[in-house]
Amino acid sequence: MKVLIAVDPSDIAEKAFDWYFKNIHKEGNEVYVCHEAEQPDLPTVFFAGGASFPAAEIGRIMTDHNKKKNELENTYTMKCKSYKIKHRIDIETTQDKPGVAICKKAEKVHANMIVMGTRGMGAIRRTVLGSVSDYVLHHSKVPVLICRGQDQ
Amino acid sequence: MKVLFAVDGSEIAEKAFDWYLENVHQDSNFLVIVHGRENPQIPTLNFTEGAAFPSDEITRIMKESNQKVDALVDKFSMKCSEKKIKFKVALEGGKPSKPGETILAVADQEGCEMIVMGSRGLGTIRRTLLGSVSDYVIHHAKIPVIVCPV
Repeated sequence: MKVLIAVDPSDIAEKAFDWYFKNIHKEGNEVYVCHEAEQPDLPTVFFAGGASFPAAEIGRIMTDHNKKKNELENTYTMKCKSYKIKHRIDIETTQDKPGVAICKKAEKVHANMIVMGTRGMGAIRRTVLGSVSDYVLHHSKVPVLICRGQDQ
Repeated sequence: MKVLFAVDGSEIAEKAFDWYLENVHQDSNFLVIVHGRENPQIPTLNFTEGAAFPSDEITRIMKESNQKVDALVDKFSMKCSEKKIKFKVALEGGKPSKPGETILAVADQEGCEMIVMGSRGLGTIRRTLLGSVSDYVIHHAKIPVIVCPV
């Protein structure tokens, strides 16, 4: 079975991954770890103020963004190797909303199941179920495992 | 691991069950099968028309409802026995109009570590992609939940 595990840099995602491996993973399952990073907010240019193109700022933001992506990729590559899981890691930046991107990815790789945490790093922290997991639950064509309780 | 499986008479529940058995089930898992049975609609009394208490009708409806539940229980019990799965059936008649709460209560009682259910079942509001019961369970469960879509 191909399992798509949607992660972000949060603790919740890591715990969901560990829980999946401990309780659900079967030998022969192929794990596809994906992170659909949203395009970071880049400063807009104010020509009226006569400001120059904030190249340095933009450079810093992109470097930061890429650094986080690399860290995430390393974290999960290491986990998969230490658990000896057949895996593929795909950390990418997308123009789509993460929920949409995850569903598209699942279809693209022919995943048989999606695994994700309840909430991640999104801004709106009041909700019980994050907007991304909510979206995926409502739109996925394959079973979705929502890992919760690991943070309680 | 103790797994709670919420079923109703729908095909979705059956498919979810089969899917679970084939892809997720581990031999050491113990299944708790829950059917939050909803009390059937019982005809209301119209005293203005002076109608007699429709006891026959009520008896018939209750009997049919019980038969359906029995058939459901049998179906899933047989599936488990065939595959030599450790299981028990929990039939809750306690809060018939709140299957979501029933499911969570049983999960708590039985110490289940995961819930598996279909996204929609036999409920009346068929327009939504995610039924009211799975929606409730997802938002209130303290343990992981697998939702199997249509």
